[in-house]
Amino acid sequence: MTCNQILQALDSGTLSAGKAKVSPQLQHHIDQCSVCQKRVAEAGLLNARLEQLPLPEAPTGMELAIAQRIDVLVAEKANQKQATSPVSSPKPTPFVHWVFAFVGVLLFALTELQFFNAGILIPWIESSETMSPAPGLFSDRLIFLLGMNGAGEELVSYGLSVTLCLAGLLGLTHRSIDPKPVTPELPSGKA
Amino acid sequence: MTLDAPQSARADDETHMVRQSISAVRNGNHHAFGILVQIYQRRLFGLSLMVMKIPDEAEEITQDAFVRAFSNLDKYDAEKPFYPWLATIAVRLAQSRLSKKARDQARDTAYLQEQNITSPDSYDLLKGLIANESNREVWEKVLSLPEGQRTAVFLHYRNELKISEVSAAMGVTDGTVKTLLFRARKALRKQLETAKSNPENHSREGQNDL
Repeated sequence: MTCNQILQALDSGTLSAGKAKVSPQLQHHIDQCSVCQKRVAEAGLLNARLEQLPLPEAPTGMELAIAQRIDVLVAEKANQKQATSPVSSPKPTPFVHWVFAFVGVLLFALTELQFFNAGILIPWIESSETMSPAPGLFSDRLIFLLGMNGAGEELVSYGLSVTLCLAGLLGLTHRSIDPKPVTPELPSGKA
Repeated sequence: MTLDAPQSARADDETHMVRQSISAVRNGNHHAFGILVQIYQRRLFGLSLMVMKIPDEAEEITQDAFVRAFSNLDKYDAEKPFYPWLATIAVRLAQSRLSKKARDQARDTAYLQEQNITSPDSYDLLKGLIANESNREVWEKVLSLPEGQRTAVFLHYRNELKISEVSAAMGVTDGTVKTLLFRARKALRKQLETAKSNPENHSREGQNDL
């Protein structure tokens, strides 16, 4: 064991004055060598001073500045939540719009079927051909009232179905025209 | 680095207070974060100052670290001690600021040399922060070490972080931290020896040799 090895042990932190565990070989050398004894003592002093390194005073107003920045952050988050809430929980769509859309699509399908003469709607076709009021359908009554036939009937049917579809779709997408919430003015960010 | 009984009791109290504050913040009382700021602001400012060397920049880093800690508090594992986590944020912020500064400095060096502008002496800057001269000298000696070494020394000795915690904070391996500490101790020991052999040349060290 040499003084150099003691020095190495001190620098690597495996040996210092406060440490309880010191190998017998190291201890034996330290007991014999006054230079190493001094070095160990100095290393102990250095460690103690580093552990008790004084902390500088925190700048005045730093605490307040942090608090202000956090307040701003919280306010921003709250506003974000408010702004995004209509998307995350949309208002329930009124039932009537679904009905409009459904009836519109149904009417359109019926008109198409009639156009291709699928034969499913024979009573309705017959009634419209004879210009007599059909008991059920609103479009038939309308066609009868207007006194139309041929291309006119189809025009009314298409017109009705498209109108109902549009009414339904507009109703279903009504939230897209909701006004945006007003964002209140925030205090300046960094203090 | 062993704690005596009153110190240990104080540490327990602090841990309890920190846990309560974190829980309160998580439950929506953001003002409770002020308690954490009160507890850790000096320690964190000291760390930032040790890394950055300039008080204004250290203050900025400290503020940013607290704000970032508040924003990411949900990611903090309450089972682990709070300070190493907070110190990690501050060290990472300081490291990225230093690397940006180094890039800027490389660009501006030519200009500064032309204008004969030198950077302010960190010793003078410390004067306003650490009143006691002997304390300031210890700081000055540690500040003279390279960035990695002084950060490791401050975290390990002053902030009592374990090697693994220091390595996590600095984003390096345990082996690197041990090497940094080894070099730092060696450099500080040499400073001590030089100061002893030339007391006239080290008027600042005078009676406070390390």
